[in-house]
Amino acid sequence: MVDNILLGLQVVLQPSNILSCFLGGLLGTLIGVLPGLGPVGAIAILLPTTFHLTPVQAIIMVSGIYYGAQYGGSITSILLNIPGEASSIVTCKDGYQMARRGRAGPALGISAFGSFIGGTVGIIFLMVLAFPLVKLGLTFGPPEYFSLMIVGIVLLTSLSSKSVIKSLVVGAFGIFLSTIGIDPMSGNPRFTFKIYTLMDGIGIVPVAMGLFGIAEILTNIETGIKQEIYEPRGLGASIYPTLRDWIDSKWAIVRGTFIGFFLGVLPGGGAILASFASYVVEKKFSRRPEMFGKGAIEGVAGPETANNAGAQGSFIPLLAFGIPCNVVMALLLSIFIIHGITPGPLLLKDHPNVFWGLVMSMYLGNIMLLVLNVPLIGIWIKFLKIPYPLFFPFIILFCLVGVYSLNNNIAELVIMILFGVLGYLMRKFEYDPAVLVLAMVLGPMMETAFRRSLIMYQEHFYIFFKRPISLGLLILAAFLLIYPIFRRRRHFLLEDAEEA
Amino acid sequence: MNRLDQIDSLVWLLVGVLIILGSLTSLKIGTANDPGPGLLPFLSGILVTVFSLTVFLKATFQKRSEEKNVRNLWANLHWKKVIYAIAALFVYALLLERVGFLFMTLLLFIFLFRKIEPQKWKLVIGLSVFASVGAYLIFDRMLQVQLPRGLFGF
Repeated sequence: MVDNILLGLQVVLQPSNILSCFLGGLLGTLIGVLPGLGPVGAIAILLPTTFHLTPVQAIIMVSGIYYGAQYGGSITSILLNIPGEASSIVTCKDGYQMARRGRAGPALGISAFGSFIGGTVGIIFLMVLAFPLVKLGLTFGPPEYFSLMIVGIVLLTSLSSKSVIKSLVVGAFGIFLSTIGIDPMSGNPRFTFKIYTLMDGIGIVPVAMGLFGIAEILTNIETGIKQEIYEPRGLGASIYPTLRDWIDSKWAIVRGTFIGFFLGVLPGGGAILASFASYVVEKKFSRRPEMFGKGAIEGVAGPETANNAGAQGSFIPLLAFGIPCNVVMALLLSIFIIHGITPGPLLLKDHPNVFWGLVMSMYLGNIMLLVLNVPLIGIWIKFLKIPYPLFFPFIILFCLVGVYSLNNNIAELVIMILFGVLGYLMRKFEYDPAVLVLAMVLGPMMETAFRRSLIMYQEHFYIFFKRPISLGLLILAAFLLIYPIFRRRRHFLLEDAEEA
Repeated sequence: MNRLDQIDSLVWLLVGVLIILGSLTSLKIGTANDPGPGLLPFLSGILVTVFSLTVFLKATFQKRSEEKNVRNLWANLHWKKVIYAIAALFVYALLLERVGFLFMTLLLFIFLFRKIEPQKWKLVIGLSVFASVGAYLIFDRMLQVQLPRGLFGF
């Protein structure tokens, strides 16, 4: 273990990697602060830029954006009552109330420290769990992988805030989209309609940028975001939480770390679910539940810790099995693949520098974010004052140049715009675009595992039910699909948090 | 009855059926022990069809009648602006290589600033020139992205 940590440090402490880590964290925070631009959209927009970097730099930077966004999201929640990120929605409840009572400083402070604790302890869990999980992953054959990916898609659909059946429609459609292009096993073109660009398949970057970047802008244009420029109240005397604050929030931070991490590990989980779950749990455990919603510091500390721990936890399925459990991880997977690295059980053996470099960069990133976060708050607020009508054309420009620079191909711009329109309509009709992207990323891996299972074992579709791990996973998937029918209140966590 | 979901599920149903037909007519499905390139598209088409049919049936037999209909989805919203923006993006994509990045980006910015949430002309021109020239210098000159030159050759 010590060797590995040293290896990781050696990788991270190269100046170019420190810089990528710093830039990632900084960009992530900025994105977290700006409402209407989430980490998914931002990473999608920046994907093409990362092609010019080394694999380690690219992966460190994109990871930094993800956990940096968790820090940034809390700032606007507390000061302005606007969640910069979905994972900071619950922080608004008590964070903003604390700010209104002149305690914005300690609220920001405890969320920064909580984020740091959740983040760093999450990394320790990640390091400890990596080896056993990788060993498990190595025993998996194609049937187990196929079933695991089914669980991944099903979990994301059942956790999605939209209707489960609608998410399944979108998921199946995403798998279909991933089969467009030359079939890797037989060489046959599929659904290409003799269009040259479609031979290579539909790229994940234009799709993600369309569904998240362009579609988000179209939705915002339509509602006509009228920004009110709030002058945040004074930050209070100090940003450091008092001893009393620490005593009030210490258990919230501990529980938040565990809840966050383990919900993050679940496929489909991640930071958003973690923060909601933590808030509900804290309210249940609290000796003064009546204070929640009126500025209880535990209500800030718990969720803010949990969303960072969850962000770290969600790296595990990707690193250990090569299976992304949310859209950000799906985009990260495509970065790995573009750089010729396959994440999964062999990552630790074949590319230890990437794995340990990434893990150690998370420590470095969390420390930098903690140090930077507070002094930079003033600057972030200035960014918030840029009116949206002046700001959105620049996001469009980034999308256009980003997609064009992939292959200098106009057809990909058209694909992005089409998916932008599709994403806009999907939001209208309440279909979840995240499921589509995840299914598209998993699609090619699923197809290979599926067809290999059938060819290798010559046992028809029974093979997936004959092998115990595969069967277990499929039963789990079936349970997850059937469960919500019996339990009507599917989003009990979200609803509880809404009511709370 | 939920009108809205009836409509969107029918669209998906059509998509699903087209996928199935496409897989059957243009690709080899193979057998379970010898899967062909068409197997997964075929199965995913079946899933799209089955799931969208479920959405349709659920919407049809839903008891509480909701006030939702397509017109309501766009009521009180600036939907014309969305159409302008989409149209502008398509025009941009189609003319980009012929006219060139610098000029098209300038036009796109002027259009977006004026048409979506109208700004003062001074601001519009200033920001648009700043954005297009700045993006050209950063992406084309510094990052070597090779943006289309078009009419003017720069």
